[in-house]
Amino acid sequence: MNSKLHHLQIACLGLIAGISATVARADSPSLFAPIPSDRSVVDEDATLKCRLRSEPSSFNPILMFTAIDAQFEYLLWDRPFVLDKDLQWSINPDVVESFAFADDHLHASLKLKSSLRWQDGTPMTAADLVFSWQRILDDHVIARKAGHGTEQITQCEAIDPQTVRFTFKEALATNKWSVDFPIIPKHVYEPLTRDDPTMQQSDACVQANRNPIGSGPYQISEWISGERIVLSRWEGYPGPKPAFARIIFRVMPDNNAALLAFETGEIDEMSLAPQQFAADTDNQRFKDRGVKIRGEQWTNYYIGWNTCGPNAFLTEPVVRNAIGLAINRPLISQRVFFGLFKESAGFYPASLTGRDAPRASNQFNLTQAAKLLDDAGWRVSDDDGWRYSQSANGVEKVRAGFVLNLVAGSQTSPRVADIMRSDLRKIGVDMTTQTLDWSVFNERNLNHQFDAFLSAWTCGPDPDEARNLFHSDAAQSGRNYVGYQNPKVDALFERGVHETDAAERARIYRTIEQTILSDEPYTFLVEAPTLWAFNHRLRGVSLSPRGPLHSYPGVRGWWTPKSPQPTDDGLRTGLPQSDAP
Amino acid sequence: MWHYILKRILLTIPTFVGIVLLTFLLIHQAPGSPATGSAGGFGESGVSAADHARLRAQFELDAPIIVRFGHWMKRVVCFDFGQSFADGRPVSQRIAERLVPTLTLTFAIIAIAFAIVIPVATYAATHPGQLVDKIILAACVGFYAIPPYILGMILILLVGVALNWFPFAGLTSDDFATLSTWQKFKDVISHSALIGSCFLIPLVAYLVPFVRATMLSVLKEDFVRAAHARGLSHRRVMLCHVLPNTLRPLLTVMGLIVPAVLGGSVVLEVMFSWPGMGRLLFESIHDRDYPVIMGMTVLTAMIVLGVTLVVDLLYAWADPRVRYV
Repeated sequence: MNSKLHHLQIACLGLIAGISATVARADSPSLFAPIPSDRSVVDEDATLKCRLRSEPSSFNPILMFTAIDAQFEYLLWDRPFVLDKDLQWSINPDVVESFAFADDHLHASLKLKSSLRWQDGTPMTAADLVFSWQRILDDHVIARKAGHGTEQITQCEAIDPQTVRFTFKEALATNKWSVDFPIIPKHVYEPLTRDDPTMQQSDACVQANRNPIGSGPYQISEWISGERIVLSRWEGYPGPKPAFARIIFRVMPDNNAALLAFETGEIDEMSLAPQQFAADTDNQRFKDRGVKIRGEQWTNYYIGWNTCGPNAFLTEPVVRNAIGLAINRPLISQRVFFGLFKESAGFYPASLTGRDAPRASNQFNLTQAAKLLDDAGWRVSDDDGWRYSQSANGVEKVRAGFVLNLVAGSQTSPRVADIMRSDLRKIGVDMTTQTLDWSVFNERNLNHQFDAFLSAWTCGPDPDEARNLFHSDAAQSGRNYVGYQNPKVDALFERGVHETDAAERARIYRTIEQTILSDEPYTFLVEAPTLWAFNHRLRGVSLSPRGPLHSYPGVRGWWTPKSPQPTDDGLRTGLPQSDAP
Repeated sequence: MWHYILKRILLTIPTFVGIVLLTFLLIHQAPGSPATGSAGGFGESGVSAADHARLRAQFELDAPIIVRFGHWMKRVVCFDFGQSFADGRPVSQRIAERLVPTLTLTFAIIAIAFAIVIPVATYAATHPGQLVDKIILAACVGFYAIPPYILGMILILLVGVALNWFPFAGLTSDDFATLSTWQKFKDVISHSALIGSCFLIPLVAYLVPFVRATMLSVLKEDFVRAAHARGLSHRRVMLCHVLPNTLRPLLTVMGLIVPAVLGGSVVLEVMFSWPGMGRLLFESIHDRDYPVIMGMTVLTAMIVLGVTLVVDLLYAWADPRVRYV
């Protein structure tokens, strides 16, 4: 009885949260209102207070690689190409005068605006761009994010002070991403890299990376380690002037303390955990301070199966299919994620591949799962109820089971594992868990020393980026930790990257997705939305599939009005109030 | 005496080397590495096997452990703790940033604790069994039983949010740089009040019964009765005879308290967004930032060994019966 009541409560909570999120988008038009052309209504002396979970590793855009680092990238640096709120590749009109691919797609020409300046007043030119490309390709430099795709450029030459000509190895559909790399000031870094080609070991480079001479509208004015980073608006910025005079990033590792800080006005925005979104923000203090928003995010939680490991149970696709069927995604979504997460339909967002409805075989079905295991020769033993199969020598019995690796510190992973364990036990599969800290977890993955792991993956803006996970080449040097190898998928990735017709490309990646879902080297569980809280004075927010901070213009486009706005615009009410009778 | 000091200092050297060597071996042999310890980014930017290999080479992790220890010791002898793997800055700089607030908080807490403990415990010991004594003891047991993180949450919700008396995040205000010296002092005090209370309250709750019990036993000693019999005032007996003998065992406890408070509390520092030593150590272990871990080990070992030595010497100073040879 209690259990049923509990499920009903969770279901209601999830339903309310789902409705709330939809209401939020519709009832909070002011939050998304773009910065007005009449700047007299914009408070240009305002300070924005943001939350940082931890400190960034570097402000050098070539060395940046974490999501925390990325929060600063568009604020400190200008780039010729940007990701818009739909994560579409876009030419930055504030930086680029013109850009065009040659007809053969083997060359491209980029002309920078002549008005561009570094924050020390030095003009930004084609030489800076060429220098940056050279640094990224330098073997001494570990450019984990910025280096993605730049190896496809065989030549990058400055034709004149403003114009750069790119030459590519091949005519690829992804060449537009290859030219999207950050630009650092040559006059600052060239002398430094003579002594320290890594750009991160000498004191001078470390200082340059912490106090960069950037090209964006903000400069670092204060960095108190472990406490806050303060950015000030660069008044000499040649592009559009952002609204906030200062942005303070407060380092607040704890989610609960951050929510209290939001409610007391210490911070203006923060990402919310599912429980915070669904339950902890349902109080008057929160409603008085701000609004919560849910948006699509291209992030999927998944189980990665070691397809080439010593555990014979996991090497057969049919077994992985069976386990996939035995995972109760709706219950995971409701019980662990408060009904805020959707069941995964695949790993590509529908907008990238035009994917059809989710496969029927994704549905939770223990009977079908048991039948698949029976058919595959994994039979339930009358002795102990677990399933067994004969080993290669035909004598030794092998128990159907695996160890699921979890990252320490996650509040949700153990609960997901509990639900899985309970259902798998019903069909005679023995699942145990092992909690590892992030470093060990990653190391085991890199060395393929695991049975299965629970993790999350955010899809990149181009479907070819998934090659790093699924192509057999990536099993040794990439991130294909599960050791998945399928020549058909490899061939499709090759076709996809060469195909320039968008519709045909989408079809190819749809086929890749279907093939991989069928082979099931990963079992995708739930799609995580972006959950965010904003102070009700904020305007100009845009939610991208990477949240509100990691697209262009992102925070640059945020603003606050000069005078307090009336409360009937839906912002002060907040979400829970919108649902109140 | 000097012979003893020299002997103790010489004895600390092998202890210190042992601590450092053991820590070095443990952290380098533990699973995980700095090349995989950093938080990952978006889908396309995690640590690939190729990046992992390059990072290992950059951090010199491919050399044999004994060679790495040799290189590290060579630098440490010259007071160079190397560079942090996380951000490339000198380890000494990273530690110094966190050490200053932690040291300030530690000594402030200990001073305030003593200022509270001595009068309260004295009152309780001189009124044994009375209602106030019982209330004091019950309060001490109650406060000592509350886990620090629960106490922290109560203080944040009650004093920080509901009453809005003190800020509960960080060490300084945003406009700290523009404040006068006095305002800066007040600002740091107000930001430290809540986290400091979380350290202070359990410490006081632990020390009051300890000092009370010691004082009760001292009050029963013959020399106290003799002092009273000689006609000395109660005040003089307490200040000149009872208190020094009561506080002597406290020196030993001090030797244990200082390192514990100095090491900080990860939970409290995370909860209060406090930039202290505990959080730095936790972050460094999470990221496998070996140079910072080792730098903090050296510092902590030096402080602990130093405090132990000072406490031993103070004991001899405080108790004329103790003689060192």
